[in-house]
Amino acid sequence: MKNLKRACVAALCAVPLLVGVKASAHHAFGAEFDPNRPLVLRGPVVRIEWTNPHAWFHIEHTNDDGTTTVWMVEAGTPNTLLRRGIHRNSVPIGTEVVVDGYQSKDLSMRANGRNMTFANGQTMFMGSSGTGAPRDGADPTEGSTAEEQKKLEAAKETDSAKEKE
Amino acid sequence: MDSRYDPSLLHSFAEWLDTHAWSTALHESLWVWPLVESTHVLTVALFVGVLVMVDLRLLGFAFKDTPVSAMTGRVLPWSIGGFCVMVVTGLLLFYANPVHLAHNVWFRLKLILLVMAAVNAWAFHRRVSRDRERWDSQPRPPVSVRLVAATSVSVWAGVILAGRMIAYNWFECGRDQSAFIIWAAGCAVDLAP
Repeated sequence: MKNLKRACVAALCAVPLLVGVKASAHHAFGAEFDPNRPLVLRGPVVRIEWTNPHAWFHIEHTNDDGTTTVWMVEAGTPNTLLRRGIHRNSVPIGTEVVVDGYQSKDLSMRANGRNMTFANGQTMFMGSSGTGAPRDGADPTEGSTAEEQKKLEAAKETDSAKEKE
Repeated sequence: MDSRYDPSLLHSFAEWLDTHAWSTALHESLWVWPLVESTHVLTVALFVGVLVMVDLRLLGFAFKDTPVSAMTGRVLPWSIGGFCVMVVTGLLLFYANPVHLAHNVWFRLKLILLVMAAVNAWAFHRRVSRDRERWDSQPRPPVSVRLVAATSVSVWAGVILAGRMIAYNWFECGRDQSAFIIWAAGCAVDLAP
């Protein structure tokens, strides 16, 4: 009986661990993407891979010299995107978007997507939460508690202080 | 001469699987893929978790006063159940994304380790069938038994590690890779001069 009780307590303690694992998404941001290489891509969506564990948006970005480059932008899972109101038919090929993201460490034409903005000004967080990506305010689940808000503010202040220098 | 790629049998098989509508449906599904992947991870935990406890007994570290047969009789059915679900979900995960996985070095390493684990298990059952009665109750079984148990723990740790690494793209084909990785992953090579 005592053992059973202990086992139950142990199992209950393990639940938050499991939830934590689930929330930490598929893989860490830092393994593939560079937080010091933020980028903005503008152009039409030319292809969408609606796949697990990440959907990929291919975007034809127009460079400063007028040439175009197709970038692969990593998004969350099809499931997380659906919960944010986007399904496979709601972004038709050719839709003009602006994507904020971070380039991959190997400097290939791949990026981790953060915000996707549509022509009507609607913005959607397209990435995964809890991957260790920079806390740039794109993820609405970040900074939801008072403590996190404080951290966010503090981070912004140090950033602006640096800029003044 | 135009560029061409001579696909391996594995590649052709993966491409054939990839043409299945169900493969695409699973890869793109909203709920089934996450469920299958989570189940795979949980049953790996069940199977390997039980296996490690048995291996620790065989190594003489845990449950020393319990006969080996008493322990395996109780826990192995759980392990076998976990193993069956683990294999089915694993096959489904491969079916969902066959071409990518067939050319993933971590996946290939995982398969090699799985074969090693199978050979080790087979060796153990041969070893056991010889004289288990003699050491069944020994706190520390003979060195040959302990060697098999140590191999089992190491190889399965390797399987889990390699499986986890499949998610990372460092050694993916299509990027600038060393000749070794191109060979190990069986990447498509432009044969044109």
